[in-house]
Amino acid sequence: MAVDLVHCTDEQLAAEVARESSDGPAFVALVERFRARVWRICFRLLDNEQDAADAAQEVFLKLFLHRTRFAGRSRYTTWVHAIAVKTCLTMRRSRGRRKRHENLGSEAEWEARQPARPATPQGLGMDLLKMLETLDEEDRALLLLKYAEAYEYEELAAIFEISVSACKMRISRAREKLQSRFPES
Amino acid sequence: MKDFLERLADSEVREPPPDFDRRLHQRVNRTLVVQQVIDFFIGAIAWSAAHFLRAALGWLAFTITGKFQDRDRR
Repeated sequence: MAVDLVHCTDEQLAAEVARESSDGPAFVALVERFRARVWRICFRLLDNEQDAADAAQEVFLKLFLHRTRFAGRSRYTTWVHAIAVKTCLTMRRSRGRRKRHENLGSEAEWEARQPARPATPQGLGMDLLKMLETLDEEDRALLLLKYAEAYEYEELAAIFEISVSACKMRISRAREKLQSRFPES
Repeated sequence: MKDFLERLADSEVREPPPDFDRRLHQRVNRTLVVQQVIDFFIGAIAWSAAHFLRAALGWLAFTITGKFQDRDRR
């Protein structure tokens, strides 16, 4: 029986992609359905159009190659978002580390430099995204998805494979870190 | 601080590049071709190794026993 690829659920579409052995209509429909969401995650986390395009392509390639691995333990959307976040974090770690170190220094270096700095925050002149760069990669991603993309705690917890209370705690601690580093922001 | 972080939602997210889909499907199809070529060679090597080994064992058995066993006709 043919499945209506436009109106079927995400899980039905994923099952149809898994049945296909080629880049066929179900995969085209899947890309169409998730393109905007995957792109937003990649663009938010990588903050660069070229890297975001590479990462989004990588995400869809992984969805295609691992199309039979979706076990249905979570919603398909959550699974896709988790792949997108992990891909972006891996890409940032591999591509961005050197660049970020040149610009801001690592978190450890940043904290090591703190006592020598004056009490007035130097970060006031920095924009919000640069301030987030001072955080750990996962904390930065959590804050971006929570505040820029308005994800619920439950969804973030599923994406990052932590409990909801741990997710709330990490977001709260990340905010506290920012507050302590940039008190007048 | 909360208001400050909520300003993140105001930052613009650009549209994906116009050739995004074309590049993606090119990449997927290239990967598929590579995967199928690898699968083909792995399958072909296993198949030819099995047949060569069968012939070699038949030759060895014939050399030792002097009897030719045609398993296919039995």
